[in-house]
Amino acid sequence: MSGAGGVGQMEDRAIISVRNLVKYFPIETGFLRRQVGVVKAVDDVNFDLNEGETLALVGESGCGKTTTSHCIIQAQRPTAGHVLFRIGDSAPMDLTQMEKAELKAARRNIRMIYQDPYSSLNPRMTLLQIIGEPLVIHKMVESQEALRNKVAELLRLVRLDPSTMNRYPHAFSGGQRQRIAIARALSLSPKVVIADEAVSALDVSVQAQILNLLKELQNQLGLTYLFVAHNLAVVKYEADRVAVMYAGKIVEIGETEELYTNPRHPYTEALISAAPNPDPDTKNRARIVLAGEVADPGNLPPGCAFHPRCRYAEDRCRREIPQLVEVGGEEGPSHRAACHFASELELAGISGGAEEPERERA
Amino acid sequence: MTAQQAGERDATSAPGGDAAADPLLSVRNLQTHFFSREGVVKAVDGVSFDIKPGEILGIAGESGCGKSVTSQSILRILPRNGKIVGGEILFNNGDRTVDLATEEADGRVLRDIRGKEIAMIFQEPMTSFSPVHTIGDQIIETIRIHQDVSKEEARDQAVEMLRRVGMPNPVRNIEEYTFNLSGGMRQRAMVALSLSCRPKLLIADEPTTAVDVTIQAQMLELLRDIQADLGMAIIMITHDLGVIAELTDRVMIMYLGKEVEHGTVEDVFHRPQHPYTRGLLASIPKMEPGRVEIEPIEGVVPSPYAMPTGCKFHTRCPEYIAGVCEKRDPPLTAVGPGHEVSCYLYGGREELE
Amino acid sequence: MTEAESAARLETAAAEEQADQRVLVASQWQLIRWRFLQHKLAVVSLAVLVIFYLVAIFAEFVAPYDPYIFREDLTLAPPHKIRFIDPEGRFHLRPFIHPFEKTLDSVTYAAIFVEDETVLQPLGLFVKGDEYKLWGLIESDIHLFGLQDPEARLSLLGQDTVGRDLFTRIIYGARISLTIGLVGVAMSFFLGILFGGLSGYLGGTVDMVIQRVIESLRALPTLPLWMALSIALPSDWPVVRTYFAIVIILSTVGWTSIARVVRGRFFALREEDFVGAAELDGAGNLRIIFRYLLPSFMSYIIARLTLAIPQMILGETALSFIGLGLQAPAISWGVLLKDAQAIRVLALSPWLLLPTLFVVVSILAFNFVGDGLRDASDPYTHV
Ligand SMILES: Nc1ncnc2c1ncn2[C@@H]1O[C@H](COP(=O)(O)OP(=O)(O)O)[C@@H](O)[C@H]1O
Ligand SMILES: Nc1ncnc2c1ncn2[C@@H]1O[C@H](COP(=O)(O)OP(=O)(O)O)[C@@H](O)[C@H]1O
Ligand SMILES: [Mg+2]
Ligand SMILES: [Mg+2]
Repeated sequence: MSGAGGVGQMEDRAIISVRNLVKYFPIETGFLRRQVGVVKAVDDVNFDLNEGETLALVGESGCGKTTTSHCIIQAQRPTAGHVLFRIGDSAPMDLTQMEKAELKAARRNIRMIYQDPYSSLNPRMTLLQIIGEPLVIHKMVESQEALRNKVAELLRLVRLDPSTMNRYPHAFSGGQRQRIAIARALSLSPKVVIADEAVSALDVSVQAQILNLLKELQNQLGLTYLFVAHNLAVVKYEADRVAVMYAGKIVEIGETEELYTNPRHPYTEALISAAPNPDPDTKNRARIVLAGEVADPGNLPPGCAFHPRCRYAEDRCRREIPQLVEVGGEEGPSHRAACHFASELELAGISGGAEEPERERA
Repeated sequence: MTAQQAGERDATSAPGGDAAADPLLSVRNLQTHFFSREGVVKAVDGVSFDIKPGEILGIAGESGCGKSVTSQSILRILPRNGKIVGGEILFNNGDRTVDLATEEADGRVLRDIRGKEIAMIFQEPMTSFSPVHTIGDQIIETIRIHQDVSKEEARDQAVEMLRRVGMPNPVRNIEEYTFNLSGGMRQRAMVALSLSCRPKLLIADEPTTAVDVTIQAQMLELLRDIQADLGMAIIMITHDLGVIAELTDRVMIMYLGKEVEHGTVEDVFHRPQHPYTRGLLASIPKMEPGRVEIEPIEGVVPSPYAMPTGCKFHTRCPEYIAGVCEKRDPPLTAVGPGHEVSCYLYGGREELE
Repeated sequence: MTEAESAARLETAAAEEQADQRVLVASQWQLIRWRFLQHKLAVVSLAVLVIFYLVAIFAEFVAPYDPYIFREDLTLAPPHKIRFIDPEGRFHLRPFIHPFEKTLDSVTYAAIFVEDETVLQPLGLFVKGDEYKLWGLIESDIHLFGLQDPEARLSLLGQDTVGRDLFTRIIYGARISLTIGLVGVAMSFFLGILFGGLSGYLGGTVDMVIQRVIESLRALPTLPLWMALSIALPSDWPVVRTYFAIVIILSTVGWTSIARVVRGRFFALREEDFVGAAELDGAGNLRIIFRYLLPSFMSYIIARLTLAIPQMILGETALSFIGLGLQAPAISWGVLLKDAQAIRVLALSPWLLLPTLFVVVSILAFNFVGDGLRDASDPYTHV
């Protein structure tokens, strides 16, 4: 087993600790694949995923959410850094140092759900084969009979009819497919599930079903979620804690309620402000509309990567890269932000909230 | 009141538009079907709405409910296997009213209207542009097809339009190709192209669906500004009720090719009547402090090849009335001024007997 | 009923309605078959091809004569008219012909064949005729059809320049012409999957080298390349050896497109989430290749291959026609057409061009079948 001596310790409640995670992709051109630059997809990311919680990773596309989750599960090997994983009271293991066979065992406990329910299921396999595949590979079932029973149980768990197990994915709608993907992820009784935009491609009514299903399963099975998403309203509903990413770095991380009502990074403030609110009363609210576009991780501006779009930017921001530092109070839960002026700025979060308008009938 | 009659209802006040004005576009009981090997898909099956000059109308609903097909029907740019099988699309073209539903799809009338009077923007900006021509060339060409102006004048107009949509350097941007632009700039260029002839109506089909929230916010702000500036009417098609609430004056909610509810955004969002509308609104988590609850609509959207009878929503409806809802299409019923619902909870049951 | 149960009930009720049960549990190949069967032209073409191949397989039995036995008296005889009504106006249930009588044109000395209306020679099924050994194994002299008189000759599609039966020779020619496409394609398939797979799976330098080779091969114009290669074939090689040499020549180019497709699909599929998910499930390389990658593009490759066969058939025909492919005594459609090169022949004996018809029909049939397969091969695009 790969020990994790000396690479930093894990917090008490953490099941996964990400330490100084870095993933660079070379930019190559031409016939000879000359390297002309580097995409800093993930650049020195640190966080702990606590047992039983849902931690959301939010940010605009290209900010490194998927790369981070791939580096955690070692679907992509990180350029540097460590991913510590611990079950119960056992010693932490460093996933980044593991060989294939060890990883195979560790990955039984860390499973993944993908965004696109159409490409994440092999159209040539039946539900029984898809959901049963991990069980067969890990030799968790003795007989075909046991496999069928286990798959039926999993299908019931995600509220699908077990009698459909001989069907192919094409017979199911997007929301049902996502349930199938969840059943596959749960087949090995994992501790951690990484859901990479698992509800982003779904229609709202179906998205709500899956969000609730994930919550129920978490309560029922004691799962820990890393919930990758870009929709702030969904994250607000689903997550206990939120990490906001921008250009490969975490710019703010804290408890959901605290982060939404009292953001400490100008980017978080802008994201919250930009999220369209399904309430026409807020139509004329003052919005922060960020100019320009997301920083290109292949060509980052100097200093704080957000400074070209930041309305509070000053000289220091153009020179110095801000560190992710504690901004919460002494006793409260941790709230950290990477902004030079985090403690000085008065930033607006989600506000008072119009009272739930009564829904009378005509 | 039946759907057809509903079409003839008198114009009730629309906040954004001129209440007294005649509708710019009046869609009456539109039916557009697709004929394929697997069967007939009634993609749009009896949709009626009006839009007045300068008004912003939202069309919302989950994917596959027929939003895009409605807009393609208006411009008559349907895929080859799609046909308008019924209804009228009356467009008030200055001095006379034309029925776009019966005109030749590539005849004179539609060619004159398309791009000049009614313009469209899409989810993917690249579909609007040819990769081998500069942005300027395409805008100038569009202007010169529809207006009798010299090349220089057209060029000036193009630069002006690019400036209006917030392109950083219009004089230089006009020489650029779309693939050189970033995603947000492409969106802006697309808006500039579509507005180059000052259309009376702009149809935007999910223009913000593929972009990030910050770019979406830019886009919505741009549409708001440019609408205030140029005063055209906008049909905003989206599945995102947040976008509808942020931008539109009135909204039509669709489900499986049918109009289920229709009214001012305030009415529909604060006093939703149809169980589907209520369900949709309850499915979206709110951005409010404190604990938020959501309540999903149960079940799945039926396949377009196996549509339920009667009210299309009855298979998922929590307030389904056995023996009523599956019988016939519920008619549109007024539940308030300019607020109509197609649901037997609010009337229309008499007609069943 | 709990909420969960009611949700499950709703889900299945709705799923039930989505399509009939058959489709729900249909595997990939069943879906492909259903979609293919909807493609009328492809189905008809497939039937035509099946008949062609059956005839080619049982050529000795189906052909009424021996392809090498010639009748000098019938040199360049035209096709017979198959008749049911005799000169007295009586109807015969059994079709018959009048044998030819050869005379010479008094001015040009060209042979003229006139039907001898006094003689009726009836056709029959399972008639005795030239002896043959089916596949070199089964000895027999029974032919599927022919004239009941074994001495007379039925000229169904005319006779060739030395008085051999053209219909017989077309059937024997089908053997080579139709199989050369199959064998050539099998060869391309093998090479294509091998090199495409290596390229796509290993990537890096191997990929680059293979891609450059493919590009160079594809940069050369096909027909001149084939010609250049076949000029190098010694003309005294036996038929079988020439046959295989030609197959190899024809597949020099064919495999490259398959290899490209395989490589492209490999790359694309490795990006698919379900392959990534299988890797995370702990599936090994072989499992991934055989359970996830190959099944995903096999149907597509088969469709591609079907579309590649006509090119090979044409290639053989073209090479043999210009004398660089197979040579007499081998019989292929190209060899037969070589006989039709002279203008004089075209004018006086147009039936010698009939092999072209068979080439065209089989090529069209392969194209239609290929189109049908291609449309059906990805049954998940629509559902
Ligand atoms: N295999 C790769 N090669 C090169 N660049 C990559 C690769 N994968 C991701 N990137 C780049 O890394 C950045 C982060 O990507 P990703 O993690 O997918 O972002 P997100 O999931 O937040 O949208 C992007 O700029 C993307 O273009
Ligand atoms: N070319 C087509 N052939 C058959 N059905 C189509 C075609 N285009 C759209 N449809 C069907 O029409 C319905 C409405 O589609 P659309 O208007 O695109 O939905 P949306 O509301 O998501 O824009 C869907 O059920 C879709 O499957
Ligand atoms: Mg991603
Ligand atoms: Mg659409």
